Amino acid sequence: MSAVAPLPAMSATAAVGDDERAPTLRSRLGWRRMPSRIKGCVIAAAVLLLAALLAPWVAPHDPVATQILLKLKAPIGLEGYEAGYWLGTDQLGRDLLSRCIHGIRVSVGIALLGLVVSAVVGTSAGLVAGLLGGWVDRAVMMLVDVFITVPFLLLVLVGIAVFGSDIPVLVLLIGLARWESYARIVRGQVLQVREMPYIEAARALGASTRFIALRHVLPNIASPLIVLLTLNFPSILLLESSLSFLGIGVQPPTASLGRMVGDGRDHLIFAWWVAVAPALVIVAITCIVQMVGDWLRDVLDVKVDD
Amino acid sequence: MLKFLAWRIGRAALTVLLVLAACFVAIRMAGSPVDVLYGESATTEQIAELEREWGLDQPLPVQFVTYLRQLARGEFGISIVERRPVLQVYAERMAPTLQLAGLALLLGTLVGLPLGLAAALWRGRAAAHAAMALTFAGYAVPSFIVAILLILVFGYHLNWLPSTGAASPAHYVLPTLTLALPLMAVNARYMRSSMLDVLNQDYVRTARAKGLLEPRVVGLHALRNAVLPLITVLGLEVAGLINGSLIVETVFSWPGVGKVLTGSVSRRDFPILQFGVIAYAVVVVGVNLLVDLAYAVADPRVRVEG
Amino acid sequence: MTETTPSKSPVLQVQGLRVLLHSEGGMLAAVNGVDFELHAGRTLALVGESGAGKSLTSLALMRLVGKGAAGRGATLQGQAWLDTGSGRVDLLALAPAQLPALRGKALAMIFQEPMTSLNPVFRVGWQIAESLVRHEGLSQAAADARALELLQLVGIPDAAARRRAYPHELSGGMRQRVMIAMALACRPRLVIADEPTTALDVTVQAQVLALMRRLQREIGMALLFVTHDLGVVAQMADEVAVMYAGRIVERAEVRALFAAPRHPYTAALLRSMPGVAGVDAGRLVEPIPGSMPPLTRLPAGCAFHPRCAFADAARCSVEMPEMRQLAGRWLRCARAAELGALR
Repeated sequence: MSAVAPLPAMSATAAVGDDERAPTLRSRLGWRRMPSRIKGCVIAAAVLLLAALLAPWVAPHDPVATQILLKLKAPIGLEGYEAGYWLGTDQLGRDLLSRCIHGIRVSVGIALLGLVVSAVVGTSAGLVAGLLGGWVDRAVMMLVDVFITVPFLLLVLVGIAVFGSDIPVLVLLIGLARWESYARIVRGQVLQVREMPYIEAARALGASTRFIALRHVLPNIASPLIVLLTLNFPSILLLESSLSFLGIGVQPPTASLGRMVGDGRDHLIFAWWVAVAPALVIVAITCIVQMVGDWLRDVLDVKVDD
Repeated sequence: MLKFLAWRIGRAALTVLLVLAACFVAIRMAGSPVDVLYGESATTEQIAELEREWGLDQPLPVQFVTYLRQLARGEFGISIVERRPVLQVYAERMAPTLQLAGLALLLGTLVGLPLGLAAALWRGRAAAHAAMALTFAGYAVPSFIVAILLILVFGYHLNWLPSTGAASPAHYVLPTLTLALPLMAVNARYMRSSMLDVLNQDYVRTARAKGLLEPRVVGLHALRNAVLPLITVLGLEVAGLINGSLIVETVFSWPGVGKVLTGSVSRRDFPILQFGVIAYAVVVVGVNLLVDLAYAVADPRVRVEG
Repeated sequence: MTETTPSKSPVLQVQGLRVLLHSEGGMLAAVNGVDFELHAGRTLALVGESGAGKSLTSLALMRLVGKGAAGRGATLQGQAWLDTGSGRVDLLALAPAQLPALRGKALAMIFQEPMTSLNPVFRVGWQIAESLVRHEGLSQAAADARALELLQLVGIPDAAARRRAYPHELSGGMRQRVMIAMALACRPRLVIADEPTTALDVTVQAQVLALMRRLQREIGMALLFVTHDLGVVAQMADEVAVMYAGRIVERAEVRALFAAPRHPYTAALLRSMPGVAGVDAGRLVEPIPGSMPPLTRLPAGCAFHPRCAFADAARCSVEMPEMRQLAGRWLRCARAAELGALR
């Protein structure tokens, strides 16, 4: 009894795997899907940034005005508090809160500018190396090697000894920090894209090198670049702070958070707040950016050398 | 294997050469090299004599070769500040720096690696999360701030440990701890992530399928693979140690090489600066070379590719 | 169909095996009630499409499902009686601490990907010897000697030199031979092979399969062979169990199955493959329409009925049929009796 029925037509009820809509990249970056600790970080960062931008209007006192009579007053809640100077005053009687706010402006400002310079230099170097190839590529890679191996701080020290500590100089020097991280990624991407068959086709159709770079390479490097920016920012900020702390960065009377910590070191016994307040600000900023950077790296699923 | 060695050594030599070139250029930008290196310690006749010897009227490449020859002969100049030969200054301060760095490296490894291992094995447990959060602090908080906080707590308020100089064993505690903290953090993080990666591999499953006991599976089959990437991290750590020691030695008034080096920047003591930069660069390059070799020995897959 | 009546009890007897995976929606039964027996010297092939649950079945027997040594994330139910030579144990009921003594000794596994399944930093000879030192208590020297014999047994040329090689220095076929040697080192009663030749070239595949067949005849172990390739089944198996969506739908002697499949899925599988032994030449290959449903979206009733050429809407979409014996084989089909041989 063998009933061989004809096969039915393609059944619409055939249970084809239909997975739930996978979250898109943009939705993962969206506000709703952000974990609460990241939301907190973003809000905190926004507040700090705002305070820094509006420093002259937000700061209660003049950060540079020395008032020896008011020196080393304690912060609110402690003995020796002077009304109106919430975080206390430093060894020259300057309001610590105002100096901190201005300090954020200076430190973050320099760091951001340095970050941009670094990214631009690095990306250009990577593009040039990847697109031109040959000895240009080898030369760039050699430089990358040097910068990866030799501790950057040493090179900065030499730079400062030669050129001084003016803010523009500092920005340029700090702007060379980690340029090699961008260069490597961009170059890698260019090399990858160059091998693609559609590039040959594009060239055959007359596309110029520059067009290819812009149209095909740049979109692909957006993700790793963003992650690199957030990962490198704390390093650059810390570089500036360390230099200022050592006394060879931003010079007084300009308030730089690192310098404030350095100056405060001598007063730790009796006026610890002079060093601790700016220190906490630095820590807060770096932690916030680190956390956001780590989260971004997970979300964008990027493999980036730390 | 020999080809591999030759290639790496070549690259190392090239890196050092580029650093030397950078120093060469820097010194010339700061003024006449003789003036810069010997200026205040030499009479006018001696200066003229040196200028002839240095061949300052020769084309730059020739000057560079002369420069290299002088370095090879050990002529590093006289310290402008201390008015003594640079080599002498460094020789005296070598020991404390090496001691501090060595201890920090030891501490960072002995604490960091087991921490990372434990965090990987007990993943998901509260203790593991806590440990990783702590390492985040070691990572994100800059050395100078850690130093300040440690001095504040242990130096002043608890008065347990001294914070200046290197007179007794107790003096070693805070500086070593400060220097070792970032190392611990990096080691723990890398170890954890490497171990988690390895534990997911098929060969770990095979080891269990063979009936091997879990300690052997983890401690031999997994660990032996997990430590490989950490060898390369060692190279990074030495660079970090150098950066860190510059700051730590300054904060704790440690009688070492770093303090002299950072001091030389603002005082434009180029002889000291030059030697320090070159010496550190050579050390880092050398360590990286050793690390590459060690990796080739440890990972059989690398040897074949040479 | 005649069966070879077993004269002794089976080496492996599996009853009601279920593998439940934790997922966001709850527990999913990736393997949902599997029964079979396997005797010494015989090969049972577990066949099915990707996702049918055959690999999980094999991993469950070794208790290697889920993450970590303790198998986090998965729950096993049912019984799997193994005759270890000194008694019967229920593999699924053993405490984790009791497993290492059995693994590699009473039962062993050969995995699919030999490159990633061998530890890259240890020499292959050493990896084989390790089992011997562990289970047989041999000295390192004795174990090394025995490992050399095993390498020769699995047909590795120049074994004396090759045993000092690292896995990446060997070709895919050789690595798999090493895995086989490693699995057989302690003469296990049961060997589970999870798609051992899928990652190999066709010619190498044939060699490795022939090797396994030969070794089985020499050593006499029971072999559970997981595969998706019916051609391999024809070469290797004495018995076949066809799996679909976590259940066995047909279990029979291999020649009987190929000559006259009685489950619509089996029949459809045979028609969808070119040149399978016993199938007439000159016919067109007919793929099965649709695809196997994901565990989260199983249809009501028989899991295969939406794709089945013989489905009877009334019966087949209502309840999952039981496994019933019919004409010398086991079938899970509501219409099995009326359909008869499907060729």
